[in-house]
Amino acid sequence: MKEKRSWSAFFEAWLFDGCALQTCAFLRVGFGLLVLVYGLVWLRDAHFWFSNQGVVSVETITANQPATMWSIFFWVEPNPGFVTICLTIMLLNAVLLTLGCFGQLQAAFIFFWLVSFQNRNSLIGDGEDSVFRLFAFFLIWMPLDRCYSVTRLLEPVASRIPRCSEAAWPIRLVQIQMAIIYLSAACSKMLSPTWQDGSAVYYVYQMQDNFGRGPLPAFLMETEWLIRLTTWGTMVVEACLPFLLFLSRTRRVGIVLGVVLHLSMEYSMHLFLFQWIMMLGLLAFTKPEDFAWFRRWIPKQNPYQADPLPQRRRLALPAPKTSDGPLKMEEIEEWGGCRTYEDDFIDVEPEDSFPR
Amino acid sequence: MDQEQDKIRIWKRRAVLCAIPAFLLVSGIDALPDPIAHQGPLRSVQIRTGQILGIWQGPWSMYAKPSVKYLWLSADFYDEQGIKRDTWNSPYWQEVSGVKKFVHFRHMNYYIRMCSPLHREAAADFAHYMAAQRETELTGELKVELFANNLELTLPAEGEILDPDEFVWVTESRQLYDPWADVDLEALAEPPPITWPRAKQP
Repeated sequence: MKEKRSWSAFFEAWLFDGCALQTCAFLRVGFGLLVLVYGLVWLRDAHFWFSNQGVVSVETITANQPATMWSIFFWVEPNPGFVTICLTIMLLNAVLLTLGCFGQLQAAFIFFWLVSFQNRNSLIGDGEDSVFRLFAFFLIWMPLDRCYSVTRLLEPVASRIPRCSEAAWPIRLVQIQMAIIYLSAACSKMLSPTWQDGSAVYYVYQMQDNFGRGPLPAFLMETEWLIRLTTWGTMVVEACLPFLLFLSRTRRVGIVLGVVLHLSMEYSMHLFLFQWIMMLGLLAFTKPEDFAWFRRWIPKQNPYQADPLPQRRRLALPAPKTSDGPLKMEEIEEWGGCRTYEDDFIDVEPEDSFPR
Repeated sequence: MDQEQDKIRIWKRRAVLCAIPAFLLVSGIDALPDPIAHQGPLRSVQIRTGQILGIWQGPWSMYAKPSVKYLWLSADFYDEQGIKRDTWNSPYWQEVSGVKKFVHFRHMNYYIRMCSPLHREAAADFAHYMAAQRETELTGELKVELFANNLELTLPAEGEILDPDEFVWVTESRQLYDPWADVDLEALAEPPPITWPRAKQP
């Protein structure tokens, strides 16, 4: 008889289940690259926005902000040289994060810089800055360097033991945050008369400074029922996404819908990096089997390389020894409850595999 | 040794089990849309906690209230004798290329925010900055008068989808900074109305 699991047990399993190391690595690389672009755009006008010779003084900013907001530039005078140095360090942190060199430490530094710069001049920020800051905070707790990283490459092979005790809760934080954004946006829209009556998208379309990036067929904005359908459709998709993404059966549909929503907005609107950071957030819902599923669609060039990856993984053995000697059976069993992925195994070619 | 490690692991788990619901509570309340959010002492504590930890976010309006408003700034530069020496206009974003919009995205946000009555001091700072940039030995000290100009579409009532020819546009030009006005420093120093969390338009 199937044992009934309590909600607390389910919640605990959800948080402490094995963590998808590939997903963490992709989040790390994606976030590092986005911070790099984000920081380079800041660097271009760094003195203008953040220095004491710029457009807004620290006194003006602090007078408009609660005392609980903090920034390094409230403690150290932000002369142009200091601002440039801080921003350069942030960019360096972003490069190191992308490469996977002490990723968690780099994420912590990036979080510190983002809070400092965003609070130094809050007049230039918007929603996407919050997403960047929050993602940096979540990345601090993730096992970022366990695959596709410089740290991993530099580790002696013998010490590359699988550490599948890594819990999934940092990734869950990203997922919760994404759900909060979609739900909050959907609620705000449901309360707005223009979204209720279905005319909102038409008026958003009239915002020519933000809208009108890519050419759209004229009938899209001339047909009334199509306008109302787009408006309500957007609202419904945003409201449904959190549920679709969290239910295992609809997870992939949710990811695809989310990506389509953000790509269409990226095509039609000028919103800097907002759509890209949101799509990166959707990546947190992926699982290793999704990458395997995706890989199946990539055409294989050499038939002799066609041995399917899952089979190879099944034949692979956990790293046979640690610094303390060979692994005992109990230790291997201890990992049983966790999910282990490709990177946690040493590659052993099956005997009957094709010659390469 | 193993027992020690087990103990640490159990405490870590407990910490996470407490922290995650706390995060959910803080972020969930923070992201509530303004009409729903209850402005009580609990919310104030939650906002402060988020600000100290650096994880505040505010509601995600995402064009919930579309406002079609084209906004640009203009500045007149006057010398010590009060003679107009120069004028400046911020870009008219509708006519700017996509690449330039990407690079100057922060400028767009900044000009919009500066026009808010909440940021009067920021407008004064900007005027001083502009004056300092243009001042030369020839011009001497300059004074800058700053204006916010906008062209706003009046949204029709009850969800009508109008033809662009039927749109009603309203223009407005308003002084943001007057260099000759006696600045009431005490009034400026007064804390402004609650500005956090602000609704965002990414």
